[in-house]
Amino acid sequence: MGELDVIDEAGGPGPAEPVAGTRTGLVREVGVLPDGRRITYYRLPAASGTCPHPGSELATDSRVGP
Amino acid sequence: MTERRYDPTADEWVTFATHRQDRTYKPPAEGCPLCPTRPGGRLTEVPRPAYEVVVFDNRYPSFSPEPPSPEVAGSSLYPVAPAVGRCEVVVYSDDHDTTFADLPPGRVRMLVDVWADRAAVLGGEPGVSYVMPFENKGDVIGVTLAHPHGQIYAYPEVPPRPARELRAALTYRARTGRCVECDVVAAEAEGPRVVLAAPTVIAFVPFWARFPYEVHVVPRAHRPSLADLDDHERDDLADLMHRLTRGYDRLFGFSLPYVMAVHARPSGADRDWDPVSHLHVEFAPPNRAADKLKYLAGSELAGGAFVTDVAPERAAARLREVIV
Repeated sequence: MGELDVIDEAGGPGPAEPVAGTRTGLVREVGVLPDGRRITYYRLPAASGTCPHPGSELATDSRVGP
Repeated sequence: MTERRYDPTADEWVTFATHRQDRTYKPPAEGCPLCPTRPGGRLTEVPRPAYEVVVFDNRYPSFSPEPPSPEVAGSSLYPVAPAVGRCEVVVYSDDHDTTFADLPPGRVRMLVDVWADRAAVLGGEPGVSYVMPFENKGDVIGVTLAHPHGQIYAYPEVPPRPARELRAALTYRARTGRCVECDVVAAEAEGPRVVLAAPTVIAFVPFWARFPYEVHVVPRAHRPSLADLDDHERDDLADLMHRLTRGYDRLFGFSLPYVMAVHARPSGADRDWDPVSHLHVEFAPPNRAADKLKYLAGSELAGGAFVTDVAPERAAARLREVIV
């Protein structure tokens, strides 16, 4: 098994910025890990796990018969 | 050693990333590097106590923005090149024990936006020609970390399968003046191989399925990339992908392994490929039965000629039975 190096956030995430191309309100925060790798956090303004579009779960009667 | 070597006998590049031999291999849950860093707990790859979706550079990348020079000298017969590009890990949830199928619907919808955003970010980076989000799921696929996640590879050239699709689409367009995937969608709509249908997206077992329960999820309209989908199309794409994977898990009564990949237009500012690039998401589960796998053996691996064990029409009917 490879070694699990200890990681700490070096650059810290930048300010939350809106993600273009969607109306969900998705935002991202970009940071840098100590070894220089990029990390981007995505989150919705609504509570995690909630559907951003009321009705999207009912978008269709998706099942189609043969 | 990280480098690309050209195979002149197949007109393909092969990437060598020998450091990946050392990557983390099936750690126990308490040692998962993709779990959040809990207060007072061990530090992981994600230095936060909770997150929704997080994307970071793979610690063991096959491609990187500033790769080392090739260790071997190239020649006109054997060109070599640095493995420029980027490899990202997309972690779907901070819950170690969930899967794509078990995510809340809103999280799947969020992932569609995240993939679109990553494709835009990575596709704009120097040396990147193609961005492909994908997920390997299940031990039999070779997954080394159980935490629900996918990956995104930003390649320095269009990989062979998408490239072959694009060449076929170019040929078809030259012959007919139309997009081949648009014609496939029209042919499959409401046909015997459809598994799911939404107003803007359909999912079907391809007429030419290479794996018994292979399914393609495709926008009905000609959309070259995820970024070209409007919100309703993204809603439908997420909804169908989610229902499909939940159905997969009911197919044999266990969480079904698969390879999922997004095929879209090549990266870059020019949109020359747009007329023949039709976004689609491919799911390829390896199971042909609950206890039997479809192996890539002589004909498939050596000959490149797939032989499939289940008729697509029968596979689609079976999937419709288990999809709610």
